Amino acid sequence: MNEQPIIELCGVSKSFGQLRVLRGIDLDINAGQHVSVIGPSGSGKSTLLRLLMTLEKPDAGTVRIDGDYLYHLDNTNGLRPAPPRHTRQVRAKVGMVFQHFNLFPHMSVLRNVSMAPLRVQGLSKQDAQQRAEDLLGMVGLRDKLDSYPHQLSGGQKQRVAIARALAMQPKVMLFDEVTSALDPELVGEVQTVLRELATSTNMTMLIVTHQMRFAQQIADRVVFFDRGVIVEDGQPEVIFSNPRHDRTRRFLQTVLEAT
Amino acid sequence: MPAIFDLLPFLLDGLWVTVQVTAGGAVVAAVAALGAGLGRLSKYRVIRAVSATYAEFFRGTSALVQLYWAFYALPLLVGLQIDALPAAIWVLGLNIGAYGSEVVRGAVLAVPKGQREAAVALSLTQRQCLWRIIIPQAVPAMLPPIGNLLIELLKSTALVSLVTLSDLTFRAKLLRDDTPDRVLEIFCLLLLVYFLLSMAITSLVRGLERYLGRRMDRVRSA
Amino acid sequence: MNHWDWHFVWRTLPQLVDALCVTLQATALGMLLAATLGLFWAVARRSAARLVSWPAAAVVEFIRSTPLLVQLYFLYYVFPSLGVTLSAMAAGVIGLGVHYSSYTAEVYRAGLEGVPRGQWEAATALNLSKWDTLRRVVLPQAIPPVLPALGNYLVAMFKETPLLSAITVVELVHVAKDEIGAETFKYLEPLTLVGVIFLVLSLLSAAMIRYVEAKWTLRRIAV
Repeated sequence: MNEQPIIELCGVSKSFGQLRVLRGIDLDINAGQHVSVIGPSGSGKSTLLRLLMTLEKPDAGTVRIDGDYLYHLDNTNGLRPAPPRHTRQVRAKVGMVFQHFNLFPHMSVLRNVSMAPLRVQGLSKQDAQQRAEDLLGMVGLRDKLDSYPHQLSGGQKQRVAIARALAMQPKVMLFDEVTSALDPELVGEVQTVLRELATSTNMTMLIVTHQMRFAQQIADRVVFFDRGVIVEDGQPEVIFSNPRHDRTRRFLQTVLEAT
Repeated sequence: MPAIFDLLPFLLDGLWVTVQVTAGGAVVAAVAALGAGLGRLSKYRVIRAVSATYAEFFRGTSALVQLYWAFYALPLLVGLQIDALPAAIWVLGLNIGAYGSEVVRGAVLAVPKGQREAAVALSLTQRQCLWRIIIPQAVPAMLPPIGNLLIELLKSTALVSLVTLSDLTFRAKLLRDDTPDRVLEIFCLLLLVYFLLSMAITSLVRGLERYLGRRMDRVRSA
Repeated sequence: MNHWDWHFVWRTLPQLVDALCVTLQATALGMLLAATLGLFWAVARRSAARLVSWPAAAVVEFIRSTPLLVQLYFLYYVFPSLGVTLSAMAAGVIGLGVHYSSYTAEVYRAGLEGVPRGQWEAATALNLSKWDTLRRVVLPQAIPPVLPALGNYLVAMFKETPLLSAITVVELVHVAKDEIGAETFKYLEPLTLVGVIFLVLSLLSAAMIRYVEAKWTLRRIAV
């Protein structure tokens, strides 16, 4: 292992009041890995993604993205809390797609996707729009450039949201239950986009999902969370067909029976 | 009864002051409401406290008391006379702005949390998030209560007649002194003029709502 | 430069306290009128007969769109020419009450709209008269939820009582400005005190309304 992991979590903990959501998580993820994160509701998997996106702050532990500390500055006499500017710089390598899309309702599809490259990365208007059009083409929505979010189906909204996140050219993409809010018949189109992304690029992907079959198909690694700890971590074939831990086995039994 | 309208020119001489105080007050109120409304949501305790104190102070004391205080007490305190017109514009503007800050605060809080999170995920700065994401979505929700506040502002401008400003109401009182037997006509006409001004404000705000209507639909269904 | 004079404050305080009683009296009576008249407007506006609902809506709209000060002048200066002479206090109370009835009408309307249609239908099915339906079934459900909102307008009305000084009612502002101020040319102390009195009382009543509202909400959830 001479390669530097693109994500390194070390002893990360997070509580909401009395509830300990993450209990000292250690996790390394290498560049280009596609990781499915599974586990019961409230097991801490979404919180993990939100910590990587700085939507929540960890109570303890360190997070490194592509070698840089997300919440700390590393100088000669150890780690100290980083100013917001530093955090902002580091987290620019991370993109996120949300369960409820969170598209900007007052902007056209094209503006939704081109806005951040234009305003944050300082691209020219033309370049930003070109990039947006290309990405929207990739998710099959080139004909919706001038539509507004409320004119789209849930599946289309989520595809726009994926294009929007990709437009910032992140090294890591986080997908937080991106099909959970969709009607069943729309789940497929979004999963297809994710699969394409996984096979055609070497983007690092963290996918929190409740769809076990999809989790197995898309990932080259699966992490099973329960009650704030990583219970099992390994190849999809192993975890889904022959889990080592009793808790993993029971969880998979329950969800697979339900579907 | 066209006779009543011979009173109109004299009355309407006061219209300019009424319009000036309303328009000037609206500008002051808008700035104060936005500043204090956003200030109350600031992450800095000091800014929150200052904004809340401003709002509670102006909402808690009466508009007329504020006006008299600025007109009679403040000059004694600072030792110089303040022009009645700017004083009136400031006082009434700050008064309505205090109520407006609640409107701004509520509308900003009503924007779903996910919008802010999406802005973070896209590396927008806080300022970009506020002006490009939050405010554009909050404004349509603010419009109807803002329309009501503008009517309140217009109505409160009648108070400036009590601090020597020659607005519509002041002119009506002068007319009453000159022609006491026509007092019914005078005040009916005065009420009518205010009513028409209110209608004008209402239709202005409604027009703005319609103009932003498409946007509001989007916001509602997103 | 004028400096704050505590002696003067203590000397004039009793006068202001007397005036406060007038202010509170006007507020209480005004609210009584606003609460009753507003309910009348709200019910009239819901009437199926357009001959009732439209005029009610128009009158409410007109009252709310014109300044209270002008309405007070109308009552005090114009009514005598119509053969109705009102004392300053009576004109003031009526003015406050009528003006604020246009606000309370909206509050009641929201309350009435909050009562499910099924309640009206159930009452019709029991063959209750319209009056009984309103009085025994609908209003008891419509009014309690809107009491805090009514309370807020009570506070708002309290803060508008200084306008009565313009028609010579001897309330707080009149005493502070036209009696104490005009006699001594000291406006700073009395007007500041009046401001403080308003601030304290309205903060107190707002806090009280919030407290009562929270208690009720809890109780309603418990039920």
